[in-house]
Amino acid sequence: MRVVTMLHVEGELDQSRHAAIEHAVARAAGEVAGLRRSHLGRHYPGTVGGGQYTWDVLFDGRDPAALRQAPALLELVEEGALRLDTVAFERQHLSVPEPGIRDCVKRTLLLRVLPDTPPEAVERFERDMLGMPRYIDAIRNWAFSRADPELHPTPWTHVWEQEYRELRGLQEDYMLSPYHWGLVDGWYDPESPQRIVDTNLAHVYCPAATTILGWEA
Amino acid sequence: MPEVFILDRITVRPGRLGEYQVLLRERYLPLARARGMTLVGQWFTPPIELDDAPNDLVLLWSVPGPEGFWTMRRQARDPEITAWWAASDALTLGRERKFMLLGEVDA
Repeated sequence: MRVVTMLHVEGELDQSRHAAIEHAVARAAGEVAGLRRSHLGRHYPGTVGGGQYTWDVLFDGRDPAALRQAPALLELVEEGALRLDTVAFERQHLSVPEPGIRDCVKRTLLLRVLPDTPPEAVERFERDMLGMPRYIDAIRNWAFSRADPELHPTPWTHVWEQEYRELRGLQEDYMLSPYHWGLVDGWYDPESPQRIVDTNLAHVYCPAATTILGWEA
Repeated sequence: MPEVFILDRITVRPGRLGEYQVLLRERYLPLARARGMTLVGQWFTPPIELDDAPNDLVLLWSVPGPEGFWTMRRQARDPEITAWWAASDALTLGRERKFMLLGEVDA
């Protein structure tokens, strides 16, 4: 399964605290049985709702809560220095046409479809989301998944992940695509009667030396 | 970047069209203009206010390109806008909002 955790660091984050957090996650990755791959990405400025880091994990274990309970992390959580926001899911829609991508940008969007949304509307929303890579070439690798609250409790319902060759791909090609603002955004826009997604999102992006989405391809 | 057009089609309850347009002008129009939206045109159909059936009000807005779209969109969580649409819902039976670019039929 994939496990994606947003790390919300409390208080000021200077270089020594960055180093401490990054060291703690590296130690935690070594403490958990079944962890196959791990990547910790420090967010670029401009991210919203997802804290300061994305921790991507490919996990063979049964209980992803083991990641949160790794002693190296638990210590920081218990002393109030760190809050973890975790989603877990099995692979669903995944496309990795560029597995050799290097020094890329990994973007993650965690979203929550509002309760009581009719299933047909959720299906239309998912279909529109899945169409994005066909119309936005800058999305090189991508995955779209329903979060599984039985694997790990979470209020998030969906995880939308992409890899771009450069930041411009996300900030310009993706954001300025008519498919995005003209078709998909209505599902998110609080002014649109079509809207089904909560306005609170985790929209984060970080550098990655090699593909993360390609771990399972 | 090309101008982006926004088409609102609002189905107003029977006998409420006049009242609805006054509220729209007083409450929503200033909020829309403050976010860079220009009201390009406004129409209603059938072209007489009905008291036993709904009228559709059609509004055409524009914003300056996709950047203008996101400028507008980033402010969409303004509580005044949320309150406006809640008030609007009480006077309407439904609405839709579409986003458009200029066509090329009449070059």
